[in-house]
Amino acid sequence: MSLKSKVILFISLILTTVLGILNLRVYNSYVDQYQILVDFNNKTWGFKNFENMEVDFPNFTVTSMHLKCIKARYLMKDKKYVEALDILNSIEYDPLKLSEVQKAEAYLTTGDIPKMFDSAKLGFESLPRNQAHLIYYLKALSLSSMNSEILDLYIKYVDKDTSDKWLYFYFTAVFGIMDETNSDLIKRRAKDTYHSYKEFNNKELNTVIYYILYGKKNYKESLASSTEASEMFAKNDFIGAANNYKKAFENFPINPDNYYNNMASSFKSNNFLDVIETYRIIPDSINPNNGKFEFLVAKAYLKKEDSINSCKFFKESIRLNFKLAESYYINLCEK
Amino acid sequence: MKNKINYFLILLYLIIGFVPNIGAIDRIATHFIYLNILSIFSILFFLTTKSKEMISFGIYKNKPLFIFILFTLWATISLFYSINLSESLISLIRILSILLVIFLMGLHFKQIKDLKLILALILFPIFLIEILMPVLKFLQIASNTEFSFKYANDLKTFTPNKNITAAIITAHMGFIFILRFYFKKLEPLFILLIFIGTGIIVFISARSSMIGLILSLLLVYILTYLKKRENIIFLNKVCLAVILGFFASNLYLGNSNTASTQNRLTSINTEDTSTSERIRFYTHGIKHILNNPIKGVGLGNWKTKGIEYNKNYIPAYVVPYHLHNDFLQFGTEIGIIGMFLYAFLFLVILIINIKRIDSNYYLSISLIIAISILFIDSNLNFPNSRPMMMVLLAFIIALTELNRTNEFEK
Repeated sequence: MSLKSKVILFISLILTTVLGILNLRVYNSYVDQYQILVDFNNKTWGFKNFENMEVDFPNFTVTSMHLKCIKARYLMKDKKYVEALDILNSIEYDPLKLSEVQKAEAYLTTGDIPKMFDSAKLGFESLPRNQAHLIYYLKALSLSSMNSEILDLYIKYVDKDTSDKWLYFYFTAVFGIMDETNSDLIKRRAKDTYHSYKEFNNKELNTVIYYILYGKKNYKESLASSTEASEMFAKNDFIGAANNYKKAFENFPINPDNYYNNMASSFKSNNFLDVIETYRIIPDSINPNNGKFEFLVAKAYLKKEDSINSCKFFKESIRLNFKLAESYYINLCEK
Repeated sequence: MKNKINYFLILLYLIIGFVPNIGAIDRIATHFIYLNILSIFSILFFLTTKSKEMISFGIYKNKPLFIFILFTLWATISLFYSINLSESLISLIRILSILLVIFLMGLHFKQIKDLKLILALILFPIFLIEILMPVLKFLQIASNTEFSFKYANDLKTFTPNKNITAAIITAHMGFIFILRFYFKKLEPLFILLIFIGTGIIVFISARSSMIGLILSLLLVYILTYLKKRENIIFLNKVCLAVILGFFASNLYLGNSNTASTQNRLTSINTEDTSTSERIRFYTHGIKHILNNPIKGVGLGNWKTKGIEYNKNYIPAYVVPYHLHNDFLQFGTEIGIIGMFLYAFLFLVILIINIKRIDSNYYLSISLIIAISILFIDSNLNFPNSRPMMMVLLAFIIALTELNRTNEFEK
């Protein structure tokens, strides 16, 4: 082998060794990041060696979080806010602005609201769809009594891509600032959101929207009445159950179950006219159109010996695919 | 003895896909250390053996290697303007690690020069294992339930991602051509493997590999028709095996199955999440390149710069750290010169092999298929970030150099 070839191979050997050492440093960080990811996802923060973790090479995790932010998170878990802020303030480049959100959290704990506001605003504007960033910005706006800015976020950021969690945090915040001047506006937006985002079936979001539209007290009373009614029904107190289900739908008129249960209780207590009356007041938008309601109305008419209306409702129930109505219709209406 | 060590080291390079994470969050960190260790052993081996090869001349004559060196140098310049030096350095050490693999694998091949043994003892067993692992997994799933798209990811087996598994299998399927040249009697087995391999790609539902397979076969069909029409019979058999593979696997899945080719290919529209995401990523990439044509954000920095472009699409902390197109990603990171140098690498490999169709038909066709699939994958995924895929590129470059300098099919 020529000297030239040997020189090339020697240079390659030195280069590979250096590359190997550097790659080993990255590998060690990746091993730490495995534990960090588990902690981050499960909020366990059990990584013992965080004081010595690599934060410079690499300085970002595989998921693009600055490693100094991760170290600061462990410090904050131990309530070492000053040390955490020192680390966070030393970060020069953090496009996720996770550092700003963590600073906001630390400043909130230390009671420095103006600094908390600045960090939360920066964090939110850099990643406006992120729930954690939104929460701290909403807190900052709320603590600074900037209610109109909270309301304006809806116009700026709510569209078809907005997540249900984002909306939940937003409406929780606006529910807290509801007053006579903004109540109609907030209710209108809550209603729009409820109709647009029904498919999410997010219980928490729905609940806060119910609070806004019907009042927290009314909604909770409706739940209490419904529970009480259910217990009464089980004890064959059908009149009491019907009354409580009525209270439940009066306080919270968009739950079809309360209407149906009221009708069933009235039927059981032989108040057939009440069954028909309740059916009449169910809003069309909440009728599940499964034929169940119509079947009960048909049976109430049957008990009242009004076969014309009874057949009409059995037929409607069949149209809505309620199978049980078929035999009634054949026996009563086709003979 | 000397050649045995060459074979052994090539084998160790090529089985990189089977090396596990060993505690790391992403196995690429483990793989790069593995490559560095192999490279150290390779260099020590070359230093301790007597060889008449003039390494320096080899570098100048090996055009793909020379272009990769130019590309690495251009990428190195980006350290001076990088927005995050640490990330750029990590990406650079990875490119340098791959450069050394390309260089050293080329030297190993130069010393062996016997393709038949490399293919029979190394590539063919690896290919068999790559095919068998997803087949066994598929049979396990199919024996318990109806196979559908939701199980596709379970077929990834020896890689962390189903798209990488599919791309590796598809690229290795190309080497069936050169295997057939050396082992004519095994032709029915090779055709059967093409058939099974196609079925696996359909079951994995990797659209980029399906497209890659179809386009690369179309390209070699045209080239064979124009330059070596007498060899079209075997190609016809291969095409038939691919068509039957698509047909049989789709027949098994049924048209309504979410994993069927019809459903997977028709889902390539702007309504499909992964398609619309890719379109968005490409738009951001092109916009960035047009605004910063010479200086990018620095090697390895798109994963952080991209956040600014995607800030309205990040509800949690899941960041799109790959642009899903290696060429555009290099364009954003090191400018259009880097982007074109990387694209030029693929073009040069393709041209060298097309020129050699007359002399080494089967080897050239194998390499054309493999590089075409890698090229298409580079346009839709991020093979550059996966050492396993880059070892495949090194393998293609080493074989291309052998193809350029030797007559194997006299």
